[in-house]
Amino acid sequence: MTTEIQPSDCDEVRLAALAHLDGEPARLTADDVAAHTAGCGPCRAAIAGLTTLHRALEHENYERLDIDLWPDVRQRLGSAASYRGAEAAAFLGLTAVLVAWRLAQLLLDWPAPVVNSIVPLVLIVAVVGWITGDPFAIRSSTQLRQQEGAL
Amino acid sequence: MKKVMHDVEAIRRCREGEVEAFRHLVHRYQRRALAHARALTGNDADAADAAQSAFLDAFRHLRRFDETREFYPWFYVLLRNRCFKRVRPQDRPSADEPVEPVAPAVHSPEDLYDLRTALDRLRADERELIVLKHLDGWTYDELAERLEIPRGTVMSRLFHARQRLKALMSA
Repeated sequence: MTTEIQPSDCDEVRLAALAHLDGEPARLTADDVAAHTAGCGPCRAAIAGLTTLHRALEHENYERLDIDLWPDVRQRLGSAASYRGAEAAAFLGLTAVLVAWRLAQLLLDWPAPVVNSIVPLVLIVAVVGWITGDPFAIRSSTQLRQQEGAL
Repeated sequence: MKKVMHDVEAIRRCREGEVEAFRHLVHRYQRRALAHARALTGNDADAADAAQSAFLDAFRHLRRFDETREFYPWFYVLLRNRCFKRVRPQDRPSADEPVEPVAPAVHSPEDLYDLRTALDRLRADERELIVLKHLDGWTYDELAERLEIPRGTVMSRLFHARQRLKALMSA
């Protein structure tokens, strides 16, 4: 038994037709679609075109890229590890400098409040700015080859 | 006889800090990853960089990986995120756009010579769906689960993507 389809249901008919082509279940059956397309020229044309496209896509293959990613991945993993070590060292260094600065303030009773505020701030901004830079900003061999080709 | 390492074993070794074990995962999945990245970014250089970055992301987040699941679908989420960061703004996924008028039907094989060119002119999210459906054979349910969109949305997006593809081929 077929479902009654309204003229405004063209989109649903086309969706169902595509689902059938894809081997997927749909709310409308193949008979429903056939009954509709028998009296609907635009749907008939649209489904015919999409069927042809579907067949063409069945014969389409990937554009395979034969690239071994491992050397670059390995290199970047190593860079990331050394970067994390440098990052930790930067934090430790910053902490040491800030503590020394504060101790100097307390012990020497420095009278320059603006400098006392600005220097630690500049240090913090500089270290955070360096750390938040892209740690993986290493050019891949593909990009390098392209750059070399452009030169 | 050469011993084949399984994904789970490789992942466990990586978690223990053995970077070389990650080679197994890269070599096993790089062709697939590159093909998907190529489909998403539309060019080889971006595809290679996105795939590399995705593998790095995967390595760094392996602790979050659920060993009872397959590696590639989990990795694919990282890969597509990396790819979408690289695609041109006009290629990025956007709210549903009005669909172009349906072009005349394509009937003969001669009309299909530029299928690949038309695929490259699709938006990245449209191209992704076409590739995963037609070249990888993912079902609607798999697409819905892995792309985290409802099945009905998969159907309508696939429909619109194919309509656009057909229109581009006829243009």
